[in-house]
Amino acid sequence: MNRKIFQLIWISLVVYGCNKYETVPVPGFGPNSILTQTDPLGDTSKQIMTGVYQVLSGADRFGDTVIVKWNRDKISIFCGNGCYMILAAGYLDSVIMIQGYWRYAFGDATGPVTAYIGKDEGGSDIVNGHPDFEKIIFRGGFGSTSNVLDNPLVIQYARPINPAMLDGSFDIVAHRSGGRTSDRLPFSENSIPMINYTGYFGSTGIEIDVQLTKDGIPVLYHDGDINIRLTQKGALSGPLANFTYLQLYFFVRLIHGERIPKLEDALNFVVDSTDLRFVWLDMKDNTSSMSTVIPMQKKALERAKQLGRNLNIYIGLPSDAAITDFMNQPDYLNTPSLCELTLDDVRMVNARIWGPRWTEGTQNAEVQQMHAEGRKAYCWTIDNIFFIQEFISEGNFDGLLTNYPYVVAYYHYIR
Amino acid sequence: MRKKTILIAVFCLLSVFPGYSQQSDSVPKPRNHFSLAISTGWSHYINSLKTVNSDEVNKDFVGVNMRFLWEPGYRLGLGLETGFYRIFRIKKEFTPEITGESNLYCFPLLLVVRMRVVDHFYLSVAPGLAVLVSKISGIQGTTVSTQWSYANFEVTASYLYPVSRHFSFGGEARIFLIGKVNDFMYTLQATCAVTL
Repeated sequence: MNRKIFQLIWISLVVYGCNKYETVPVPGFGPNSILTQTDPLGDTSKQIMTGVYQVLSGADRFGDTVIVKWNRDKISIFCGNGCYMILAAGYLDSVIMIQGYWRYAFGDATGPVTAYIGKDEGGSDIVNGHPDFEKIIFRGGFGSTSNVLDNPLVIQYARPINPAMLDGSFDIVAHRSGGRTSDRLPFSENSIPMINYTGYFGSTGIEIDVQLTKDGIPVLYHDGDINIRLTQKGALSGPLANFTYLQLYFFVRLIHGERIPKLEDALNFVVDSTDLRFVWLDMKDNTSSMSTVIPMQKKALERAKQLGRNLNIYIGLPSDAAITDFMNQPDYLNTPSLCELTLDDVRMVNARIWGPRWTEGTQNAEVQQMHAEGRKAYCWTIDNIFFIQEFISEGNFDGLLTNYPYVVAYYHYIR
Repeated sequence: MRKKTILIAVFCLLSVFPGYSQQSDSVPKPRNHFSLAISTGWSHYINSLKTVNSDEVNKDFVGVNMRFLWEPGYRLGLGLETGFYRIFRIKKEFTPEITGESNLYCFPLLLVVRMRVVDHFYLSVAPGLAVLVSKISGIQGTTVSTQWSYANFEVTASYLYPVSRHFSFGGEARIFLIGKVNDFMYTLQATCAVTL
């Protein structure tokens, strides 16, 4: 009998241990949410709410301080331990109602959040746009399981975010447009829904992977082949470059059901529908895509300029082959690029940005050289909380590429 | 003298019987030969596709398989296996004007370890490589794409009955994991094996 139980346990461990990338569900409140009865807050109200807050209840989960920051229509709350919250808010009779979810970035812990800002605890000041408020206190609860708010959450406004941290001089760049498939986010990596959502993670920019289909159309996709890591199991498998765009369009779905996007559509979306100010095009197909991608880059930049958007798009140069292909293009010296190799390579192609690996360290002397030449420096891909904190506090990079933009956001805005 | 003779005769008689009680050695002598087995029959894909409906997937086909084994003796057989299988065929109408078809083929290249469990009944395991060929048609022409699958595994149960000194006939049931696409397929095949 014991042997049979042991065998059953062993088989179960093998079967369930092999589960990969199950999405962490995002708690929701559905049509019964109290927010359906509220009115949206204006930009002035949102600015008043933005700041550094002290956690009075819930510090075990979220730490002692958090950053509260609006992005378009949602509040993002960033914590120093890898937790974050994405919340919607509205007001009703000078009380601000807030609902959403929290998530732990390095695992699958998640749960609902509901809170309010009482009329006399900042609600009235915020709604009426009074910046000289006495206090702002979020009161509510958060849950450890779906829709059960079994822990109190109280956070109180402590101070504003340092204006220097909000001037746009530092970029929080989300890897693969928001995070990897393995991070079990609500959307697939390198997808338009992820680009739409990444701002809520605290991203001010994105890195996206570009390669060509068989008929020469640049698309966003990281791996060399259509595989079950990035796509739903389907009718098609093999190298992406062996298939035309329409074949991919009809036969392939990314993990969360999205289609593989064209680069052109993704750039148009960034320009028209987001506040992102930085795009890093990681050129996966190093030898033949520059002549196709560079015109798209220039067209998107021109469009952004016409719309008054503050947006920079850079061709990523990760290898010697990419540099060779880049230098074969006309007017490459005036094409915005980001070079990952040596400082001499940066100068050779007149790259605007040097992008070293984070494992090389903060390299402050080299970064200073780049700054002296009017260039910037972004390092990649940094995910460890300790090193993020170190690179922000002791480094001089102009941006960090990360799979956890919410963590970088905390350590940047808390300065 | 007479007693002595009788005693010697009894002694000799008793010595003979133990000699007759020893049987010939029951351990089979090593055969150390090669064999070639060809199998063909029904293959069935265990459908786990997420982007198509089950009625759009054809899962049953005829597959063929060939094994070359070295049988050094006793119960062991070691060798190589290859074959050809169509894993699935999908026909999907995406729009009234566009119907796409997708076929996935597999050519396994496996190392076989086979054990005779009881007379004529064998179990084998076979890890190895496979070449996967994906063929798309109906959308912008026909595209054929080839890739390697490195982590494949097969378990086979075989029954082979010798009908002559060199030939055996029987059947095989196998289940095959294709690592690259994380798919399973099983087959039931008739087998003809020849001892070389």
